[in-house]
Amino acid sequence: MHWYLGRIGQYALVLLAALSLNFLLPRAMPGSPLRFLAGEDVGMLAPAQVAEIRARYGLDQSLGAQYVTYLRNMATGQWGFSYQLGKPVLAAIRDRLPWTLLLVGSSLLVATLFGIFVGALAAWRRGRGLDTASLTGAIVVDSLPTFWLGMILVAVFAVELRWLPIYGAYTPWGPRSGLPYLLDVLRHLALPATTLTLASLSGTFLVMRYAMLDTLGQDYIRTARSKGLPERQVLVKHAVRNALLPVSTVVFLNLGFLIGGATVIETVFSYPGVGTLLFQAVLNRDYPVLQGAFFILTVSVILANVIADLVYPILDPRVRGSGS
Amino acid sequence: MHVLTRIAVAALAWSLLASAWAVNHGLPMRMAITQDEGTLTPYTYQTGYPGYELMTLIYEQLFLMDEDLVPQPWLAASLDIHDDVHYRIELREGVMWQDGTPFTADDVAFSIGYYQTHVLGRFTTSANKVVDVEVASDLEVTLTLAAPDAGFVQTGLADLPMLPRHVWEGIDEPRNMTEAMGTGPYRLIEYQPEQFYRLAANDEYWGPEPAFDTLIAAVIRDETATFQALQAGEIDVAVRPVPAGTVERFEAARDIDVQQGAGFPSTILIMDVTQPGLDDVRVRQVIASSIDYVRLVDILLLGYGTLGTPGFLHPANPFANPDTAEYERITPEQVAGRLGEAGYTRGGDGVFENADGVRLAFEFLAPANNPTRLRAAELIALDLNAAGIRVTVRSIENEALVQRAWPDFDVSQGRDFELSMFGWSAPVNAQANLRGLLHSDTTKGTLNLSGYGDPEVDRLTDEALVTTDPDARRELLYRVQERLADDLPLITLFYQDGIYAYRPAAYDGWTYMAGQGIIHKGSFLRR
Repeated sequence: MHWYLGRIGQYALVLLAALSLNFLLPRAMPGSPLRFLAGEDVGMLAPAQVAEIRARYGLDQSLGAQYVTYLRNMATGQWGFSYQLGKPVLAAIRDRLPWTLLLVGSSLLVATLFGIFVGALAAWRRGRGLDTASLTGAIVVDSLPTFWLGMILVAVFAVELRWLPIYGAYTPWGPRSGLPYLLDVLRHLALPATTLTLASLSGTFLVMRYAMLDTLGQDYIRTARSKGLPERQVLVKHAVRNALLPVSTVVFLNLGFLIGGATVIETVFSYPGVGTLLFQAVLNRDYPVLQGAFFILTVSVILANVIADLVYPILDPRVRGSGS
Repeated sequence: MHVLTRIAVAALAWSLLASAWAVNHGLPMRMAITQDEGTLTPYTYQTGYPGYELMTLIYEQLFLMDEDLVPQPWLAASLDIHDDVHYRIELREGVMWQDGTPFTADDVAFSIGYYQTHVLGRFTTSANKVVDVEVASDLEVTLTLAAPDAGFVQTGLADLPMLPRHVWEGIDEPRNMTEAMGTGPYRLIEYQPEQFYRLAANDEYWGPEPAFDTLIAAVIRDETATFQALQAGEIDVAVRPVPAGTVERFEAARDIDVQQGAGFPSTILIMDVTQPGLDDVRVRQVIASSIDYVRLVDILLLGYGTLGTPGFLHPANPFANPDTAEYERITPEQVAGRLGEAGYTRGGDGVFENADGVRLAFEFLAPANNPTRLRAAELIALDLNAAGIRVTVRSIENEALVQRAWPDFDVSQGRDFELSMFGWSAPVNAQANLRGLLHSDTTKGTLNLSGYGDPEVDRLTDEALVTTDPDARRELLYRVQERLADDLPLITLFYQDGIYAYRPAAYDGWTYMAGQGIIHKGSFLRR
């Protein structure tokens, strides 16, 4: 119990620090949101009118006063209106979240499963063809810029072969319900999700491979083998299960970034996720969106850590002893 | 692989292809736009181009600029101007809002009042020129201006979108307005933020028949992705100009056509003329004469551009003075002579300085996220360094640059730069807004980022504003351009040509509007 209380205190501190940074960082950026409050032609306005607009949005107050208002609003759930979208911040984020969860979630799932599978296999066949090929492949793909990878996939599968669409999450004039809609969404998901999967594959793969190599060298594996257990059983029941521990940490960390979206990929594929929302908010100095979105991001990363903290003792009984 | 799995995979692949066929059958006009444009109302659209053009497919103006930049009566049927300030407007008969309510003079009066009380950069300034609105009947209204304004038809009547009084009357916070409804040829059927707009032809439209039954404006932010989508046949037209490097490829493509024409957005070099060194007109002249403009257009735009003119206005602008069409070019030897006359000699490091210790060494701001402008700054730095003027290019993020060159978009707050890359959007040129660029009074010269002031220019631009006779006005603007070409508080580097690509099989009625391109209302109507 004591251990959990300490953890909760730590997280509360992190949260407060994050809240303050979320307020300060957007305002520390040079530039101002005026262009989005008064329209592109803000330069045509008289200074008094510009001042009036600043006052209406509270931008004329001191930073301290704005900070107090901000903390109060965050606490009471009044996250305000987006400057650029003219709608509540929460609604703006809610619109985007499902697409980001779909894109990042599916990619993460595939990348994790594939990474674990190939990582385990590569370690088991260490130094052989599969190992060398997958290791080289992972390092090569990992070092490619994501947007470039996306562009190449687009050039091949969308422009040349014309199999898959380039932009959006679904066809604007297409079906909106039932199986046809689902298939349309999947078709639009294919290229961005493949790009993101390729881009995030190497993390899990490399961790799994090294963990597996480590495990395979352990005494209990030798014991299992000398007991005459079939190799498949040694691998799955004894080696993989133990090697999964470090991988689970990576997975939980990734989960925290699930809702942050994948800005680059979302931009390349015009995918309507949280990543593009954030990117645009940064460009437009849309303080309310930045504050709201980064707050949710912070909370989700912290939450993922909390879950990892809670789950780890279950996965690894050794930690339980030292914790209590 | 298990047999069942194989069957499942095959079935999935087949249904994916089938759904692709179904989705792509019976296509609407598909247009790629560059960013989200809000709810497409006058208070929520974002960009002057293409946002304003898209918004005015729904909300219309009393006048419409035609392809040659001449205002034509639109919701107005006729206009009589008395004593330069009384604008008696007869409205077109039978115009309905999209909800079936008739459009009347009351709506005109309401719209002008609304723009006056609900501040918005583009519309409030023109609306504020009106001091009195008199509704004589349902179809007749007279606007009275505070002072004569030669550009009011263009900057006011052809610019202000009319608002339906019965909808907007109760709206206090127009930025949160979600319902787009006007008199225009298209209705907004669906808006998915950051994704797309779906517009449908307004069957009850009073004017020329809309060219498309359905129009999809899809947001594709990435330039490369936009043109890949065009190539792949996923869109039919892009509002974004084709990058110079890919023009040839599109011209060679059989299923894609390209239209090219004058582009009014300018790329300029601004100077803080209150800085030591830059406050000397002879130094500014040497800077302007040392830049290789041809090389800028050749290297940066691959020739798809127009050389900047010392008088700022694009040569295709009807007000451009043909006598201020080119910058003088001088050799490094001539530079030494000119700067010598101004009291400057080369220091030990080859940089010119004068007896008061003023060194001609400047920081040159360039936007990091605009490769063309950044490269332009680097090329100009080469020219100026060779001439003995030390220029250090500093690349900073665009919003940060704007904040230093134009703090809070208010020139009365001063400036914090020496040299900077900058650019003005097309309307500054189309409206020949030299007063905004050059007037020393910060309430009039709201775009005067250089801190320039000249009584003669103030007088000429003030007079041009109230001179309604076109020839007399042109003469005044010619003289302003001559002063600008001599004094050089800003250097116009080049105008990027507008090059637009589309799929003619889908639609080939696109017309080129001078200075702007193919996306304007005329292109969306059958005529």
